[in-house]
Amino acid sequence: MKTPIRTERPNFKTRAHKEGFNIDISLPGVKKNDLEVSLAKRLLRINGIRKELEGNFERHEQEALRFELKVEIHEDVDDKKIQVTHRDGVLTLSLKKRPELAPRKINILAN
Amino acid sequence: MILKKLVYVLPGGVDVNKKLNTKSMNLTRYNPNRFFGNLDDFLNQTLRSFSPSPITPASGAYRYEEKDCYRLRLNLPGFTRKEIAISLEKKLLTIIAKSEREDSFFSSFERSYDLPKNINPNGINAKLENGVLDLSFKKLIDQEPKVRKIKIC
Repeated sequence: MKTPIRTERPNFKTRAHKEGFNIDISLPGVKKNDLEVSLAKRLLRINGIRKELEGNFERHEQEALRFELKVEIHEDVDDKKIQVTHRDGVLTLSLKKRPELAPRKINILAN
Repeated sequence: MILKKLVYVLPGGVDVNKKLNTKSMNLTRYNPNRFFGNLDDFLNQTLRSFSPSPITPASGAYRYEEKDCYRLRLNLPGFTRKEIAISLEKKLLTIIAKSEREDSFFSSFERSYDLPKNINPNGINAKLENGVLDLSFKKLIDQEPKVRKIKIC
């Protein structure tokens, strides 16, 4: 009988910037094709599977591992402008504020 | 050996030591200060919460042995190929990774390993894929047979 795949929450960190913020998720050993990012309403789900490693390990380290992260995003985030990049084992989600919420200049009317 | 007492923690918080098998003990993590090694680790862990020290990956390191080589696998998410330097001095293998990019996941990483004696220094290969550094060390194959016959003149 095959044992079910262990699930872990990946390490992640956030970086804020002027227009929004980024989430970096550490997913070492996960290939791009084994990653899935989905958004249902405000719930962002990141799923990744690290396939079984080849090599004669004796115990857990060769096992397949599932990474799962669920993030509820704020209403202010523009859900149509979410960008995802995958590089060197790190998945970066770039979230932006709705344009109408971005800081803007207000002109002063002269008499 | 000191190795048994060192604590490695995987990104998910799993202690690797529990999983290390005795076969792979040949490739030992180098600890320059053998006597105070554990104390040093303890202090580092305790003081980490007080100081804004660079974040280093609580890395997963997997070691294992194959028929003709030793393998070492390290999780180094976020580092590019150029940011990782691997050097070999005698039998001491050092892996240093440094990143100054704003978007890097970790800022620095350094670890040394004592290699077993029977390694061919020209047969070391390194591969970086999806944030995992995969090193293989070819074993030296004994050319001379153990029993030598001596001719009588």
